[in-house]
Amino acid sequence: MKALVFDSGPIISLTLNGLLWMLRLLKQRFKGDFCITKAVYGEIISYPLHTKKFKLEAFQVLHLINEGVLKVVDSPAIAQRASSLMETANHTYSVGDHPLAMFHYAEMTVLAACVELKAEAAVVDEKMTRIVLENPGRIIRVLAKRMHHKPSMDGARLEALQAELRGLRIIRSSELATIAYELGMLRHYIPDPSVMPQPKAELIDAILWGLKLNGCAISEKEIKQVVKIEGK
Amino acid sequence: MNMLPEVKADILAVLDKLIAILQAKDDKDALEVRELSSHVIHDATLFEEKDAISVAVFVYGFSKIMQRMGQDIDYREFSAPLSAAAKDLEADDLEGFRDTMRKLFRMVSSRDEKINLYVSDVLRHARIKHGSNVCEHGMSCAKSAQLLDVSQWELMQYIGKTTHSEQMGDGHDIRSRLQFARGLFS
Repeated sequence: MKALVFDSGPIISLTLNGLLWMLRLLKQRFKGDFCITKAVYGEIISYPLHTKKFKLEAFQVLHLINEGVLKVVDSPAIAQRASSLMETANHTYSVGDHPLAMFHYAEMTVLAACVELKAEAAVVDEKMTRIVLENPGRIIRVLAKRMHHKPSMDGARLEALQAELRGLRIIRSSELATIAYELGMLRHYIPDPSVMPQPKAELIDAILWGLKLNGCAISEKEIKQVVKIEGK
Repeated sequence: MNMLPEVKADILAVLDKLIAILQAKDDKDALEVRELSSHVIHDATLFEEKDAISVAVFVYGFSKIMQRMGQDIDYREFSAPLSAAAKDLEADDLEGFRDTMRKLFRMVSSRDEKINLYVSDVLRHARIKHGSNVCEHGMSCAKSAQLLDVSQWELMQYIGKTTHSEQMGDGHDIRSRLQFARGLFS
């Protein structure tokens, strides 16, 4: 069975933009499972259900789980692999003698579930998880700039991490929304050209900025590129 | 367990500067105090140090209250407990230090009934803001939320309004990302 494993971020940014419904249509098209791990469930549902703020949003996500659009996955193998990934990832970068514990267990369960389920991709909006997989050298430069200390990288651990996660691709909510747009799932939002000169370009721009402003790590430059590609 | 010497030195430096600012009122006080709060935030990232977070949150929140209350705030009231906190920390009396910090939080929260709600809001905002700073220092979003005890929902909303995602180069260009995503749904 095909699978995509979602981190908290994309669910949050889609919900906050009123675009969670899109997952229902995307899943039908995907013909596979949209999964969240038990730890991610805790972050996006259990925690806000005990608060006033974002409680309603948690109900909306819960509804999608009850409908079977999102499937909660959990197994000892996922938990064990997540712990091992976390141990490696959180000891890869250090400042002096102090390893930088940069990652949370829930994020590692997403990557672990991808490996265990042989998922097609992880859906992650947060930038650090993505950068450590796609451009790990960049992290050193960012840390050096921000921490005012020279960080070091344990090459062997990074190699082990990358070997374990080899082939794993990451997509963001912005890619999901762009594909939904391409597939016509958002066409009901396109206004008449009399309202604005380039309604399609404006819509895709609005969607991507909405996601960005609610935490999806997409740059302004990337948004401009997508608008150029899609807004014709 | 003793606090790491680096963290202790940073917190003491911040407390000393804050006490010095509170010696005499000046128009720039609130701004100077706000800037102080970021001085300890790298300790939070590097050492996951809760005391550094507590000081950063207090100092930021205090700066906002100074801004709001202007001349109505009595600096002398805060100088004594701040000096006591610094003294406790200097003597490695962490329990005493934490007690005094709690007292300081209570003091700002109970300043005035009218301002009480505002203070809770400011302190909450201070946590979210520092969560975002920790994120900028290289921690993941979930880890930062955990460290600052805020929800990821709040943190994501805040981070979205910052320039964090502009600051990092990516591994794949947007065309290849879209091409891969299209393949998943074709």
